[in-house]
Amino acid sequence: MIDGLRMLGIGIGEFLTIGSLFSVLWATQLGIIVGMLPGLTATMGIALMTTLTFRLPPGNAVLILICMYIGAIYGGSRSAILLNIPGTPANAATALDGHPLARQGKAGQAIGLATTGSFLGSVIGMLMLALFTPVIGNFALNFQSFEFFWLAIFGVVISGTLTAPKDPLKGWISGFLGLMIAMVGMEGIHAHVRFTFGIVDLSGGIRLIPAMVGAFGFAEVIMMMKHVRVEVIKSEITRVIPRLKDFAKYWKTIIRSGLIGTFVGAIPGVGEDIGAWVSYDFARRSSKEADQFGKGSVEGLIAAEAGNNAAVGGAIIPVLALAIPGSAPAAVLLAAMFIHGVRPGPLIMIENPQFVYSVVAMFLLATTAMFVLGLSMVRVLVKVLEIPRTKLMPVVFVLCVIGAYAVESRYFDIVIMAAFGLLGYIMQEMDYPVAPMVLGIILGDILDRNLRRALVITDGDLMPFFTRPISLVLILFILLSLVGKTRWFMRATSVAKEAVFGRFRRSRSTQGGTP
Amino acid sequence: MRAVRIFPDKEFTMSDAQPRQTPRPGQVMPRADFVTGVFLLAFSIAIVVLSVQMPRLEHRGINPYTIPGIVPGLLGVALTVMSVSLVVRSIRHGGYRIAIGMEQTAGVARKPEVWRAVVTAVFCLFYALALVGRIWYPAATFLFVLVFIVLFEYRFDRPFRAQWGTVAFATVEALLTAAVVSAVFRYLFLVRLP
Repeated sequence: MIDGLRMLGIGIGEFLTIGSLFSVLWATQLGIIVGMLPGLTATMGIALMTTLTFRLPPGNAVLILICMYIGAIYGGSRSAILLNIPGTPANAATALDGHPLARQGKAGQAIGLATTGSFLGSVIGMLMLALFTPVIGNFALNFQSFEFFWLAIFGVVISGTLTAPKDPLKGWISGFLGLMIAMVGMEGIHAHVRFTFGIVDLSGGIRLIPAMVGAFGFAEVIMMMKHVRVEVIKSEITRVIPRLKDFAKYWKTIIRSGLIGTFVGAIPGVGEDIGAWVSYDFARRSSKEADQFGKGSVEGLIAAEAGNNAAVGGAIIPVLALAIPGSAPAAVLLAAMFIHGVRPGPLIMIENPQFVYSVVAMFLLATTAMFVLGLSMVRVLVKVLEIPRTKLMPVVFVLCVIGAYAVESRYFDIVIMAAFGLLGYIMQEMDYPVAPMVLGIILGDILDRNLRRALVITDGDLMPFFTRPISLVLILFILLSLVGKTRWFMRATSVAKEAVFGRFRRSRSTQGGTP
Repeated sequence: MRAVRIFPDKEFTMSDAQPRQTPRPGQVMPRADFVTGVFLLAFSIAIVVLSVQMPRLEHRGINPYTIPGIVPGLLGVALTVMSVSLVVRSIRHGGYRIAIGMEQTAGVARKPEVWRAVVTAVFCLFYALALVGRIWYPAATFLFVLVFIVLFEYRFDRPFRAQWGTVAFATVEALLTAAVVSAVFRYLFLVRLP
């Protein structure tokens, strides 16, 4: 604990230079702008920013990316409130109550609430990041190949289930497609080249950054150009600074949303959007003003924004502790860390514990910058929303092309970007979530190496896969996420619930009935 | 007989985003699911076949449990099972009743949003795959940005006099983008431009 605080102090001290603070300010502001603009998502912003920062020292580059991440997830609330269009998918729940507030002439208040909600959510996420990364990292030291194999399967399955709530099958297909994509190129045990069909450029495998720039950048450019332009709701922005009483009144909602957001964010491949929805849903269920939700509820707005920003902290926990991303933007962050020679994973608490606390310090600076910038320059920044897509999208695509190329100066990466752009667009049109595929690309290598290693250790015996305690827990989770939404399972659980709790209820009502 | 809807109408609404009262899986776009399901099935069978055919590296005396084809093969089998369930589910919802005729194709082609998507995709691909790397990068970028903006903003049914501002703005934006992006990557990030 003391060591942790000392390292956090060192981490903060490391970034208290004029250069770093300036980077924090511009990167967070840029993140807010990227988040505000519908069509520019946090993932795209971080992916493009990775290609712009790969020459910087690791600490500065990761700092800029985290500022961009936090800024973008918060920035999306602006367009959700003013346009009723979430700037990033993470702000879809924000629009439900933020936009009605704007329509009631309370746009300034809504922006202030969203900013403070995001700040508090982010602080909770940061605290959880500082507390749980070492714990999970140390726990993961017990993992062997069997556990990593199941963890990879669990990652794509749970990510598929939660990112495609309407149709989990499509989420799982997307995840397994990602695992399959990771099989392309030279494998890690015998250096045998797989599925390259004679294309030499493929032998190094499919790089994550060009693939993500394509799937989240190019695909989004097509999607944005497809739909017609939307107009900004002309709303007078008056008081932005929120009232303390709003937050004092909803402190329980804030803490609950922060914790839920962090937990959901920490689930592999399940991002800020689901974090916001789950927080929002919990807030509505437990609210005394549930009827106000969807009509401009302050509580709903705070819950959604605290939820999505807390999920950022949550998503970084598995990045650092397990080298498995909690969300799509965190996947880019993970790839960026690898590019900069930082190797996150269970060994990080042994090899480089200072880095974990440096990330917490970066988080603290970014969160503070987001809060300050979020409450200032509101009226000026609203003008950004008026930039027509036809003028913005060609520039975004130019950055996608040069960004994909720049990291390794390989023309082939542009081809990869283009291919994944088309694939991502078709997947979105056909209702397949893209995030599980990205997670699959990262987990594919882990799955491949660990399954084969485990088979060698056991000489082909499959029993240890099913008998080790952590494996068993992971298998249980996998099964639950596979069958959790089937009708027969839901019916069975409701029958079981009735059988157990119904008896208590009946006995209580019988007791109550007797005089 | 109804046609395959290549681009299902899917405007984003809040009720879409909120996971409640959703129709059962497979009911939303059974025909599109049928087509993607059949495609995925063919793809996954191909993976299984290729994995089985993959060299077992016996001459190197490797442990038979580490042959390179084992994991892709298993993934192929998993994808096959999922594709089969997708196809079966879409058939149950009538997804196999597809027809691609002139009338339906014309119907899809008449939608302006389809055109916008196709034009964007084709023009972006042209820039990325045909222009970049073949002609001088700043020139390629200038042309791309200029033509992109003009393509989507210029109204050919109106006189040029009324719209010269659009073209002028596009030219300035294209020039700035080409110059700034090229200079930043070339001189600041020291990247040899494609």
